[in-house]
Amino acid sequence: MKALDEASLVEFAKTVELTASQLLEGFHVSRRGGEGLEFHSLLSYSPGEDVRRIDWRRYASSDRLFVKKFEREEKSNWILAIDRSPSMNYGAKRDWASRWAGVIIFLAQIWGDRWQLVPHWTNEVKGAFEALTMATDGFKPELNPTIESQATGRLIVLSDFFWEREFLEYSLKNWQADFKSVHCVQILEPQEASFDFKETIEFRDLESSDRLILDGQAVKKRYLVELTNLQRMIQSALVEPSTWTSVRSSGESIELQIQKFFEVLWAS
Amino acid sequence: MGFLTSIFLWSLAGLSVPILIALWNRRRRLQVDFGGFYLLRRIMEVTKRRIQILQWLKLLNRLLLLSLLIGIFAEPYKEQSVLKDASGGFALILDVGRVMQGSHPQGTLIDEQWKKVLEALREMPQNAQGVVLFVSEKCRSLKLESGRMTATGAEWSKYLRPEIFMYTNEATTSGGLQDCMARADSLFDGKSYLRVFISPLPSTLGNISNLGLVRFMPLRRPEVSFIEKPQVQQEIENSQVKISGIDDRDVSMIRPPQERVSLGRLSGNLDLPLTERAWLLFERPQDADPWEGARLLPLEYLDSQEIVLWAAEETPGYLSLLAALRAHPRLKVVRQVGGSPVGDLVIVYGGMNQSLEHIKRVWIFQSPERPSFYPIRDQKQWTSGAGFSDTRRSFQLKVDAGSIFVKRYGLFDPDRFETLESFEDGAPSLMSVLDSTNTIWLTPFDLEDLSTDLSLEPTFIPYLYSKLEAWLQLKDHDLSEGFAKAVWLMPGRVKPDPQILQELKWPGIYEMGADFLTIDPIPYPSEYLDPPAAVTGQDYYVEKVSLRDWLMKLLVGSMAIELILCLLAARFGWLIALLMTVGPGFLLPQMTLASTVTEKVAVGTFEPMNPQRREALKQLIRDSVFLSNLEFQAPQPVQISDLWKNAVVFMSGDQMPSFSSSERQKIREYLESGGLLVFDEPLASVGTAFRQGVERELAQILPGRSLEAIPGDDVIFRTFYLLSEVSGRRLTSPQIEGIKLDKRWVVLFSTNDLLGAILRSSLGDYTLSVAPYGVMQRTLSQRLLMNFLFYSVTIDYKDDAIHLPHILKRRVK
Repeated sequence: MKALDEASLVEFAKTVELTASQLLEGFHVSRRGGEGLEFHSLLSYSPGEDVRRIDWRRYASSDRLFVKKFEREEKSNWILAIDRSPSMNYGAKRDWASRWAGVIIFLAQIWGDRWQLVPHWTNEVKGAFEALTMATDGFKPELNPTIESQATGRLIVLSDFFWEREFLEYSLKNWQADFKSVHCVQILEPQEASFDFKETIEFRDLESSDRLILDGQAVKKRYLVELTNLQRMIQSALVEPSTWTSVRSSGESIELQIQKFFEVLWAS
Repeated sequence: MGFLTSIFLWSLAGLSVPILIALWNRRRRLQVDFGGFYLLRRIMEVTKRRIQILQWLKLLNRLLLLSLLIGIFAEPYKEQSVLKDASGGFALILDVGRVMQGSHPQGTLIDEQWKKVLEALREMPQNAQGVVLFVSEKCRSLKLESGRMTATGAEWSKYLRPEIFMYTNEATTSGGLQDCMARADSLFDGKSYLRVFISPLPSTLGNISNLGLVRFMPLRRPEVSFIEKPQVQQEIENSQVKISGIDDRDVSMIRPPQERVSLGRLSGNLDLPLTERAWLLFERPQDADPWEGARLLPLEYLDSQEIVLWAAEETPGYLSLLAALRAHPRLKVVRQVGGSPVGDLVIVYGGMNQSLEHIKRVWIFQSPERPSFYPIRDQKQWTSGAGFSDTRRSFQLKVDAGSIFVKRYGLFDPDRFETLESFEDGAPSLMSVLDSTNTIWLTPFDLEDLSTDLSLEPTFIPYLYSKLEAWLQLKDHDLSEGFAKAVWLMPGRVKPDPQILQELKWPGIYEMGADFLTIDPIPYPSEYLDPPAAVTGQDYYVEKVSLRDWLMKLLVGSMAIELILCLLAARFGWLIALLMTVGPGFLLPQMTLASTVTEKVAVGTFEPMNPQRREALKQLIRDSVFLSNLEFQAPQPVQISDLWKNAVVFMSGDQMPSFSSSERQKIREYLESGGLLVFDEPLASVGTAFRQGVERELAQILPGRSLEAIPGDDVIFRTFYLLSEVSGRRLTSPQIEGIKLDKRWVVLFSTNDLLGAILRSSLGDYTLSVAPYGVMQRTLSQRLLMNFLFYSVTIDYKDDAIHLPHILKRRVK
């Protein structure tokens, strides 16, 4: 096991804090919004707010738009599971997953929500950040692990989901039975998503010593079809309130990715 | 096989180069650790195989490419035994008579003949030119698509296929064979050549041992088996056809339009209602020879056998025609003179000014005596009716009562027939009215059907019968071109070309639009000649045939494959590869054409050139390929600004165009710079508008000079052929005229219609008659025109002293 690099930890924590604070500014409404909420007050509608929360009865009587504001009824319990299989070492996927987990932990801490990082089950931010920095957290799907069930927990799985189909279907089914909701975040390198290889290349597997010599141009179409099929399979296996998000590990803003994630999550 | 330059085989060591390249590329391949490997694994098997195959294909193709290059330099050859006697050329004479309809249990005679044709062509020396002739009652020659009649054995092998053989329903006769040999003799013009005759040698050929054929390739004789004609009797009684003697067969009735009714298995008698036109089809029994099987019996019917021959007045020609028609065994001909024609089927003799609408069908024999007709130059013309553009076509009139089928034939007046004694080949001169807008002169019927025999009976009457019978059979059906489509054929292995079917009547049942037409088979002969005991002309010698051209083609193919294989890996590679494969198909012929044209000597024509004379010029140039190594381009109309591109410019027409002063200046410059103008008087007369026009223009172009007679010892009479006299369609003038500039003839003028004398129809027969000496005029005309062509490029080359002894020797002969 490698020693903790304090500088890396500080760097990681700063990045997470900065990201989370930027997110919180965008979450001025969402902080208190969400599922299982109790009506709190009415505020004037401002453009950009969720139109579903407009109080149409009040609009009919006053000719002004008001938005219903809610108070959270109960705290959430976030369980974060990061896929640590070798395929996640491709590009920046592993670090991206760690940042995602760090930011969610940070937000949960601020919101006063409970959170846990698989498999440590710790509730200390520092310990979690250490684990995220050293990549000692997470689970390895190829070892077929089980995540301890929590009926009130919301499970967030950060992975590329390049798993065997049968295992993936089995896991999604079990998780949805064991948790209140399952939120799958697929993290892909841009090359994995677009497969822009133009020549004949010897591809090497990160999980085994397998090699394949393929014509990138010729394979692209069928690769993208396989990827789409995989994503469709996961989406179809998830039942509300579970959600599905696919993000890129570079080229996109992580703040926007997480904001969209929560918006989808709260809308479900 | 050997190699002419085997030293180049050392270059085969270079084959190691692509192998090394392949190994080098393998080492340089990019390696990538890839997270999505899981997805790749799912699709890997097929793709991996494809890539490997592509790599292997590339390597193999490069090895092939290199080998071919080396092979081309080393020039491999194969040794081939070829017929010695065919060195000077060959004539392949193929029997296409009705005897070829025979079949064996092993196949048809057509199949066997095809094999023998290929075998014969393989044995021809590679550079020997030859012709293919078809013999039955007549001789027909075959032309390549380019219009040429001669080609090498390899070219014929590529072009020929059984479908284009002109198989006929006629007997093969020694007359036809002699005709073929005469044609071949004239084509080879005294040169030694090999005659190959492929035939089952039917008895109708008579004694052929004296014909001097060099090589026979007899086909297996079919077993003597007459076509089984339906042995049933028909009798018309009370609006019914009573048929008796049916011998236990499945019988169907075919009735237009497109109706085939099965009457079941019948034996004995059968009563059928009278119909317009129908056939009984006796199905062949199982396991029977297909040739014997499909028997067709045209059912009797009443109304079409009676024809009215009408004329305004009785003339000897009318009576002659009446007598001829009445001699026909099946036709009932009613004589009617004056009044209105009465009857469904009427032949109008001599023209008629009355309405034809009440007559169901009309056939008109126009008389040249009618005052409203075109001027008749002499009584040697066959004439056709005025006012319609093509007398050989039929047309339909729609009236209240239905449609009237009018078949207009402008036939000649038999009254005048006895005056045709100077006709050489049965073709009239049609020149004087060619450009007339309202009169089209057409031969009244297919001229090739008439021989030079001038008597009426043997030629015209059988022809007339056949036309009438065909006419009666066709009834209301339009006889437009391409009407007949084979439903099935007997014996049915090889399907001849529809056009040939239409022209030459191969037996079978044909579909005409929605209707049927049958052509009954004629039995093939029961007796066959013994193949001549002594078969000569079997001397062979070994010829080395270079395979370089073949390798070149492979090389081009291999290069294309290499390109395609490289493109397959690129973006849109499949599309580009497809374009690369298909594109050359469009581009190459044009490129080849362009390169071919530039190698040939250009020949131009002034407009308005008589189209027939242009065709004659084309034919002359086509034949010149066979005669000389110098190739001329097909004649094209020239712009004055492009005159310089042409070695010679021909003009033959009714009028000479008027040029502007700048155009005349350009023509003068062209002539001064080495050009040649040839004028050919199409009317073969003196003082014509054309002649006057030419003189008028020449006086402007070359002031102070006029046409003068070219002396008989001028080099122009020996530039290619050694000639001592002029020729043409009519010998109006004994000399060629011309204008000389700097000891060189720049203008030539022939008064005798040289091009008209050599004009041939699409079937190879001469179109226009020549007088007074006949065939020799045609040969001499062609030779003189060849001399003109060669004079345009060689000038006085033959004046060199080196040619003198040879010329003198020939002159003595």
